[in-house]
Amino acid sequence: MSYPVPRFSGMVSAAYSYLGSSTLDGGLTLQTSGGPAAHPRFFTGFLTDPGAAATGLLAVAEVARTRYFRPVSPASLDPVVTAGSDRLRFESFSGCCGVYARLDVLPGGLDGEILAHGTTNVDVNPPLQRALTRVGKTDPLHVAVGPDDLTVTTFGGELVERRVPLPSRWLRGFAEAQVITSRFDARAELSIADARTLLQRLSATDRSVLWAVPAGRSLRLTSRPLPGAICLPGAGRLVALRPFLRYAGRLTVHGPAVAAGSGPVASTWELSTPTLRLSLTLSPEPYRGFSGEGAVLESLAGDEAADDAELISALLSWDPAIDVAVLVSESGLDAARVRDALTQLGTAGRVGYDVAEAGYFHRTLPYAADVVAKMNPRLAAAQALVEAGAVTTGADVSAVRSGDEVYHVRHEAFSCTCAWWAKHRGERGPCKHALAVRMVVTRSGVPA
Amino acid sequence: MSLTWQEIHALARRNDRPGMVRLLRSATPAERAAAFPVVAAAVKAMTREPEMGARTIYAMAVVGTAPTAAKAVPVLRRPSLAAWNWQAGDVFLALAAALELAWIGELGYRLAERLPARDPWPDDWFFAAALMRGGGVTPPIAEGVVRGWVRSLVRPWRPGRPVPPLVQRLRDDPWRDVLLPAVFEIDAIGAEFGAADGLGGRPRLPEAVAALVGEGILERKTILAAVVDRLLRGGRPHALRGFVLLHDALAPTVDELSTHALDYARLLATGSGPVAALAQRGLRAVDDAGRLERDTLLRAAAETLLRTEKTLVRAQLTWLDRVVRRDPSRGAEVLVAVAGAFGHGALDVQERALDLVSKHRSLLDASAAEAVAAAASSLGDDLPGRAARLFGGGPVADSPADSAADSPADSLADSPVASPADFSAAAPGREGGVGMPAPVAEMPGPIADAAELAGEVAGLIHEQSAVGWERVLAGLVALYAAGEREALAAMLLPVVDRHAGWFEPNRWNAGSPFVGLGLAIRVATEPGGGAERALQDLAIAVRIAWQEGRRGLPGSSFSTRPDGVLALRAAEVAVHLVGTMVPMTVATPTHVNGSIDAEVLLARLSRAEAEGWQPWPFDFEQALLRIPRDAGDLVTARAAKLTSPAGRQFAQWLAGGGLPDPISEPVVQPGERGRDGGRTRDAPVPRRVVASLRPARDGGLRLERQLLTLTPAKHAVSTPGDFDGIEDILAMVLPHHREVAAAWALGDIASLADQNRRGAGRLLPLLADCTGPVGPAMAYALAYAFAAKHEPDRAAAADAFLTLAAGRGAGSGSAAGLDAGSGSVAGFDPGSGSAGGLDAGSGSAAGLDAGAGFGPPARSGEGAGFASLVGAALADLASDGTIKMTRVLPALADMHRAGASVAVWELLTAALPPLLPTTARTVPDLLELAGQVAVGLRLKGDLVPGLAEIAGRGGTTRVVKEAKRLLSILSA
Repeated sequence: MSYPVPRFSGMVSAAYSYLGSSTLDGGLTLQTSGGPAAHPRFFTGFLTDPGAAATGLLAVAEVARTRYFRPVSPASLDPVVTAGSDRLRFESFSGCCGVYARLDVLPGGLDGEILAHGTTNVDVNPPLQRALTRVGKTDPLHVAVGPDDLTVTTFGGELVERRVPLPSRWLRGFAEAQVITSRFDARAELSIADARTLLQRLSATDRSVLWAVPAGRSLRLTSRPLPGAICLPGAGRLVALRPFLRYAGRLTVHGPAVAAGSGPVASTWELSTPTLRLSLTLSPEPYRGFSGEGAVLESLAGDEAADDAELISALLSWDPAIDVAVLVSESGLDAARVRDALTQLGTAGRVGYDVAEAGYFHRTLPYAADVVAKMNPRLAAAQALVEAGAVTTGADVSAVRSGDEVYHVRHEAFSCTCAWWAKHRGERGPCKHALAVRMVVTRSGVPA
Repeated sequence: MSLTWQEIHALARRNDRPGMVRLLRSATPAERAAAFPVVAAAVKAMTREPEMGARTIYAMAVVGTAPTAAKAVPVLRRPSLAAWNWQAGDVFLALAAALELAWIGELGYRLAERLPARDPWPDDWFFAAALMRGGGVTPPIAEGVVRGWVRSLVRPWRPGRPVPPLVQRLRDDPWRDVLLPAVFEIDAIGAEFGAADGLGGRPRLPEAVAALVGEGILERKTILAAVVDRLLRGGRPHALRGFVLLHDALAPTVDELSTHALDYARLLATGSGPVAALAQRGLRAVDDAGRLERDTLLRAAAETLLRTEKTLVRAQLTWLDRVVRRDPSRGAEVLVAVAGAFGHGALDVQERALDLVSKHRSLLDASAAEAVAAAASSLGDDLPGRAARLFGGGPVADSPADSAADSPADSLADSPVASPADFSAAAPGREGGVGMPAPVAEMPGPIADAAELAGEVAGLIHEQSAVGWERVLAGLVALYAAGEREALAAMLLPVVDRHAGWFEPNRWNAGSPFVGLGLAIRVATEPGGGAERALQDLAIAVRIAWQEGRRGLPGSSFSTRPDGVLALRAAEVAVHLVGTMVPMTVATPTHVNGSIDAEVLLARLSRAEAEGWQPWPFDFEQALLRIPRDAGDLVTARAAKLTSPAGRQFAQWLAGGGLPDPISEPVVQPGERGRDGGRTRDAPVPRRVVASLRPARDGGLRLERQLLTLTPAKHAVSTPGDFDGIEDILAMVLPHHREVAAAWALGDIASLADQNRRGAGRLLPLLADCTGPVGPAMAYALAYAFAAKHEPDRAAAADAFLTLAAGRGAGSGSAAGLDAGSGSVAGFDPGSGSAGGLDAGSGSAAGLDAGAGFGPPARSGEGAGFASLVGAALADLASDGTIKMTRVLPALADMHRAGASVAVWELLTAALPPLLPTTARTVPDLLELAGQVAVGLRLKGDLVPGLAEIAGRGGTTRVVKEAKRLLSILSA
């Protein structure tokens, strides 16, 4: 499937073009922009739990328009929707690159027909938000994602066009959040009463990094990580979940494995009903965007993964979850290489990760994300160092000359003597010096 | 006179504005157009910012020659022309008139568009506004514009003449209809809209808008709808305040309120406190008029009853009560909604809801009764029993109803499921992990090579850590001794050079351990490296420490506080590394809390003896201070066989029982008013409790006297920050005497609560991992940290409390011990069991002026449990509002839930008796929590002195109700 990429002006802005504004007038009509067609139509039918779905959609839209760190001016990037084979997923990414939100409308939540598969932007404008807040718990709600064919062919009015800044780090972060969550496991499950108590207790402006460990049926806040603990970085950023509490049945928290002494890590907070799942994924610290986490630099540094990724991407088919075993048999690659290729596709915005199902799903961000993924600044800087011949390899330790300074990289841990490494100690991936050394060492065949 | 840059420049120097206008007028349009590129290039080339007046002249040249506004703007916005528009609106309008520039208004528009969203400079807005007004242009709707406009209305900027009232200005404002709607649409403007005019004033703009609505100038329906929309969109309370005021000022009629009923229902459920209150009033008015749909009401009520604001919940319950009475035929569904409040976190709310349902229980039909009974499962304390009696079903329905009716507490004890499920983990050690104190982690392995050492040194610069420092010092000495001089030079010198500000001695870093480390690296890598002078200074300071046992001036720049020991040791390495043949440090801990296994130190000293070297003096003293209190007989016996000086001293140290605990006493730092009656920086709080230390013996180690002597200042230090970020370094100096570290850091920790600072709480979990008796400093430190402003510090206190509670052997079934009704607290055994050895055992501390209530007299004679000490400290600090007890409660409930119920009970029984007679607002909450703990532990007996008096006081205040409840739980 080839994608017409929306118009970009020098990678600095996204241009949305809708046939009209999304409206809630009897039924909900969400206007679309870009993706498999200029204004694709993905779904028409009913939402079985309209109140909850409307609240979830509002939460996704709220994340899209918020900067949780240093709120200078509201971001105005629109959410994206993906129509898979049996479900709709609404995703958004905050302007500060630190919060990723997704609403999954599961098959039980839809009563209608998925007309096409793909991913597109949807317009969620202020009047629509206002209307959505008034959707009651039981009113039946017809929903159409995308204009109908008649509208598209006979359209003679003026397009609703908006052009908003689209920093490349936003795109990278959006894509990279998927890769980071692919290492998560479910760590706690709370009843909604306990979840409410917990969320009510957290200050809406809290930016500090806390940890939580399961205690009784709920979570207990703690100041330091223990095995099994969940990081709660900038708890104030969970505020978008609150309105959904009244519909949800439980709260599930996902996170990576941590040990005593771990630094802050990301975590996913998911409220679910039988037919809907609303999740927020928080970056490890409020000031840290997902874009700089460097979780994928190592797999990007090789060329092999890129070729595998091309092969794998041709095999994806909008299934709700990507089955690695099937891909292995279809591609002829081994499972590890398929996973590396999926990581690569995740960074390029071409697959998303669903922590609840513990699997990737097919989704192509309607932005020119491939280009951005290859422009990772740290990777580019490392390449520049290699090309400048700045790396002097040794048996266990290599020296890298960068400007007037000399840094030493140990091959054992790919640790470095630079300030960046001293600050992050590997929590945000390798530094550019270590990446450069890794490139040189792998190429020259010296065992790393 | 011709239009050249020289001429413009000359006019600018003379600040000749009329001359500039004449010059431009005298040129033909073609000449002016030709001059623009020259002017633009010259402005671009300016390197220095011209004088204020001159900038205006240059800007006039730009405007006068530019072909369009679009071309002029980038030149005018050059940094070198900053503030060219200062009070110059008329000048440029006159210029435009003279030159017949049609686009002067557009210029204003373009400048307005570029106003920064957050904080536009008022002059920039006034200038752009003047041009737009002059040119008859309507401003763009952008955040900066709207903000500038609102600000100029609320707070006129540099008014030259008397300013007419706000209402009049708003009435006459030509852009009101364009810009006012944006005030409702741009979220971030809310705070400006509700801003007061000056300090202590009240917001006038909402009133003015309401006044214009009253005059019919603004459409009432539109404004009200916009307000409701804005409130629905939500935001921080201060951003919504203005709209709440406007809503109140509009005083919507019942007709208006009912058109927005659905919106108010949503606001009531999810809005912030004041907004929800407003919505509640509005909806209630609609309901009183009989125009609110039952469905809407009940749906909103379900959410409201679970809100944390008790006022809202209580009002909602009263309202629902009225609804039931008004229309009993449909009472059942309302009562089911009321039962939703059974899930509220506060017991008094639950009870109120239960009372309400039971009052109307005759209205319940079978299915409603079932629903209510199901909801009753989330009730707390003794309420489920009552509910079961009333509605049947539920958890205790199986037990004979009659017996349950007479003694609800019994039915609780009989039926464990009746205890609130939230606290099912209350039994110690079940899930929360109390009962198995995690062993303290071992130190990471030694540094392997020079490259790793360089990385670790760079790491220390970013974030110091005790473990990092110890590994670096040990690594440097070991690698130097191994002859790795060249590798050290290659890897370390670039790091030291790169961070010269940290390592090279200068007046700002004197006494820092980095200076010692830097010099040690220099001497290790380049003999005679030219740092002799600095090395000499360090050697003198080290000698002073040895001869006089003193760190600090005169002659020594090391800190007099315990963290100075690290700097001293780093200096010692620098001074002795080359001259002596010492191959290793002996003070490097074996565990991350700073402890050294006595056996490991024995092995190190045996090696020294075998190889014929003596450990460096302060390295050795620090090693001794890190030995556990009970080294074991075997090690003691083997140490006695050592013959070297250090070996003999080690043996003596072990035989003498190590470092005697110092005398730690609470000290009150009273407040003092400044001359104006306010708090001063020198005495920022009314009262702070800190601790003093004095050694229990004379002599001992060279380090001993200074470490164990602490005399607090007369008044509290406003922002101590003594151990900011180096809490672990402090804890590692004396890992088996945590009371000492707590005493040194108590000012820091107190400021968490009384100065709203953050971070120092980190020390407490570290101290919990250390050993040693808990005395007043530890107790007050925990109490202060529980009341810290910031959640991480409170969580750190809870972590420390849980570790301490686990450390004294919860496995001994102390719950059963308490259940026996004796009320005595199990003897506290802090490691060596020498709590009594601390002079600040309960009795003596109570005698001090500081110790009002410290150390409950009831327990005198016995070493009180650490939890009792914390409880007494909390009571002392809370009794006069020195700390906010409301911050403490969630942590106490957390610890109860995490399994430390016994310790929490001890804390509460120490804290309650002194607090009961006071009017502290949180006493009912403490009693409520005590009830929950008592139910969890199934405690019985007269365990809380003074409780019966309060319960018997009569009346219906909450404190009496809660006291009665606790009493009934405790009396079988």
